[in-house]
Amino acid sequence: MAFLSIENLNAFYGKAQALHDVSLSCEKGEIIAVIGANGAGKSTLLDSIMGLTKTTGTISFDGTPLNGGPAAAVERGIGYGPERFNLFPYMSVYDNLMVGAFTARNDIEKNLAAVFRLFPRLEERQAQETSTQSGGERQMVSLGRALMTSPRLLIVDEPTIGLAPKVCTEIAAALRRLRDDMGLTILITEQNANFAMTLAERLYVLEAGAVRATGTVDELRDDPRLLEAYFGH
Amino acid sequence: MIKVTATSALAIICATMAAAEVKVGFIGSLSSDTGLSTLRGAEIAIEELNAAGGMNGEQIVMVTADTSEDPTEGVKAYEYLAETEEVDFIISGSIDDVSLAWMPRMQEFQIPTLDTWTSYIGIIDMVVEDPETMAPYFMNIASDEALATLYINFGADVLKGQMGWESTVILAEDTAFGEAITGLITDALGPVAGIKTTEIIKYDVNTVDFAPLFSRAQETGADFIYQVSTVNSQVVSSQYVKLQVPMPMTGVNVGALGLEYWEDTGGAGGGISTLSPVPSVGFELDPVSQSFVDTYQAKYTSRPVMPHFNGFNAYHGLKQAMAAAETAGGFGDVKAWSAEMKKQDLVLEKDGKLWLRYGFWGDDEVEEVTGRTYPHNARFDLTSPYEDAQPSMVVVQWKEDGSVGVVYPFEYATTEFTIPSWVK
Amino acid sequence: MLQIIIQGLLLSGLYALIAVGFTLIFSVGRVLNLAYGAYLMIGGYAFFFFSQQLGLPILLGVILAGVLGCLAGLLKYRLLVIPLKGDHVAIEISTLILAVVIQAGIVLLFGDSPKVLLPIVPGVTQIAGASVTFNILTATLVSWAILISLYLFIKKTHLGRAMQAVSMDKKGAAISGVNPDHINMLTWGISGTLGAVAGVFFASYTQLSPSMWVAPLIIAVAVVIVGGIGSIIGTLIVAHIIGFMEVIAVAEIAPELRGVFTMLLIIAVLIIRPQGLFGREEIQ
Repeated sequence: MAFLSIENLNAFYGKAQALHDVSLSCEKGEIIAVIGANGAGKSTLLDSIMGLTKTTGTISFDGTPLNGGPAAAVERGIGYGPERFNLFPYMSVYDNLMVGAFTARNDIEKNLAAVFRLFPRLEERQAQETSTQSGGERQMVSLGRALMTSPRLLIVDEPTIGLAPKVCTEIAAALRRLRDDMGLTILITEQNANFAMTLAERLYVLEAGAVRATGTVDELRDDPRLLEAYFGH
Repeated sequence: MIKVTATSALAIICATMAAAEVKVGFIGSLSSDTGLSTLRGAEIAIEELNAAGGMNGEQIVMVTADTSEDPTEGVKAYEYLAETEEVDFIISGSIDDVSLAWMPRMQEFQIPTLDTWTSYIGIIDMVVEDPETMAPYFMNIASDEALATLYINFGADVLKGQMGWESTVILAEDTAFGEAITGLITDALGPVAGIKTTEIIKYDVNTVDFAPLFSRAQETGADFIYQVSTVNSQVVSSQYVKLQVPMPMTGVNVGALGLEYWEDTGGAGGGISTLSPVPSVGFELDPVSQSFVDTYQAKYTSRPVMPHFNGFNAYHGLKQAMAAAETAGGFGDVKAWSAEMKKQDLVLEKDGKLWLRYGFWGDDEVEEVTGRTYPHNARFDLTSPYEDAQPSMVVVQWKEDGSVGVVYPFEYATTEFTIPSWVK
Repeated sequence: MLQIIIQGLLLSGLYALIAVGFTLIFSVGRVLNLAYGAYLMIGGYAFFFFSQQLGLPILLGVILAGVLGCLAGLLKYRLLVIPLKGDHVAIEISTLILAVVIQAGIVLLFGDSPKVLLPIVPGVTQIAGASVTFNILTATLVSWAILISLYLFIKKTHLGRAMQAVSMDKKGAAISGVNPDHINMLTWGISGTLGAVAGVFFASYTQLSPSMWVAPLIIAVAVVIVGGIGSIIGTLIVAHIIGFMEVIAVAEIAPELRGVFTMLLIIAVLIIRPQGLFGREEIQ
């Protein structure tokens, strides 16, 4: 069985169904991207992995089903960088990171050093409140907080949305280093298909809550289905 | 509570019986010492009357309606007694605001009603203004004007006469009662007792910390503090004691009227003195009232261990109401009952001397000191040596050893007025 | 002058202790817990029962009062807040009803005559013309000790940070491995404990009575409105503003207007700075 394996996942917000029979798998050490337009269900998919939505179907991680809610998902080794970051605005960068260490208190030193190596800017500004930070810095805090949970799988929702091109590159480099140096498995979502294709090895195309296409970057590069999902026509 | 339930249960059993009976309704708080004093006084009177054959051969039963000392609840309670229970007579242990709230219902239903606790002179004024509608109403405690008037004499005889104090700072709660008493006191304290009021400090009844108030009172340089407190009055007095305020204090402190005061304040009550309606705590009792207290203490083990003045009023007053009904042929003819009630006159002697008198003022009878009438109000006497009736009030003082006694009038005194040990 | 400073410090310390548990629930749980005053009542009466009636040692009495307050907080969370999840109006109304029910329970158990607690530490001294009882001095010192410990707990421990996190972003906390329900429950427990302990001191200042829950609730609401959400330091400062305002009003201006100044302050703050003097802009 794959490291992360999702089968026939349906997700609901009240009576509205946001995901339809989504199946997805991800091997250890892979970087994969789920791409799709706004409202395609990308954030719902990641929320569902974390146990934040009402779902049917199965999600298993490292061989066993995930069904204990977000705290259990974190403890099993899944770190999450949500689209809106969901940082704690009136706490310092340091305290934000320390909340991430809530379940992984034995690895604080090691993880903190890793985060600061990855994003030296956070070390310089660790006393700053996140409400006063730029979007790029917040994305770094968000990723940093996820890393503080000692994850084996990192899921990130639209890591580059709203960021300047230079910062996008920085974030992409960081994600790649996390996989290459630390062996993390990474699942991201993206609207920006070009960015996704420079970073990921495999893609899933999500449209209206269902998987329209899947394959390696090379397989999908010229696929009309991808263009359709990406451009929304 | 067990007692109350038993009473209600008894009422239900009795209500299902077809036999003719007289139904008394109690209105008041079922959880306060005040309410329980009246309730129990009435219960004992009813037991004794029933043992002696009831009222004109009919057994007397009692039903209760709880006011929780809340005016709105009071109105509901009166309506319940009048409409659901259809009682013949109502005995009330209501506080001022509650009596005032149900008064229009009394006027409407015209049920003979006896108030045993509220002393609000405004209600007696209603009787003066509208004797017809107020005919069923009686109040067998001296009204507050009479209380305040005699209290001025305490100022002249003790505070000025014995202690030599010439100025006071009034520390009064910001309530209607506080305002009224403060007015009465300041009007008379100067001219009659020769005590000057240096400042009137009104305070909010929810004040948490009285230390700044006491500091302010001390700064006036007055000889003593005159306290007027009915709401949360233990807070003022216990902080006075705990802070050991180096200035004497006396006045009105409703919290100190019951025998539980010492226990309730954890002993932080030594030195506090207050005016009290009679019979007060520390008041020597005549044999009849003493026997009532003996019965009371044998019957009830929960607080109040000693009935407050209104318990005595209820005990004697209920018997008088029944006696009036016997002569008037029941409670049905309210005018006839009211006329008979006015004639009730119970004189209790102690050592061959008039000690307590349960009677009412004549409709046109003018009281000499205050120069006004007190129809349907308990008879009282404002001049020594109190040969017509008991004084309208006494001043009692709690000592630092936890004992309590009457300090004024001298004819009724059991101890002397003293200042707390920490006051120089 | 010195006298006002001393009296102001003493009263403000008590007010801070009263308000902090309320601030905590308002910040973390986002619930205006109108039954908060009932914790004070439970604490005060529990202390009276254990220490004054049963004669247990004073410290044990305070601890037992705190334990009961904690239980009350936990039960309230389990039985009221969870079933009514999300419906703030329903929670607020039901907490108010609960306070009235607890009041009725107190009347049943203890009667409705007010009672004065024995001083926790007896004795009195004069400082700069102000009488200061050791009891109130102790209350103020304990209040400071509790506030400082709470501050350190919130700022420096994992649980404390988690509480802050839940107050600022529930989803963010959840994906960091913090279970917001557990944290909420913990907060209700701590709030109940703080309320009950504050109740012991409040009652030893004033008195025990079945209606004693109203006055401290008003103080707590005032502090939260004026201070704003989420800051212990803010709570402390505002408690001092209100405490000193009160002492000055009573000592120098008009004692019967004691509460009026506080109300005016509340209205002024609501108009000029709705998020409170030390509050944050509403978090989205």
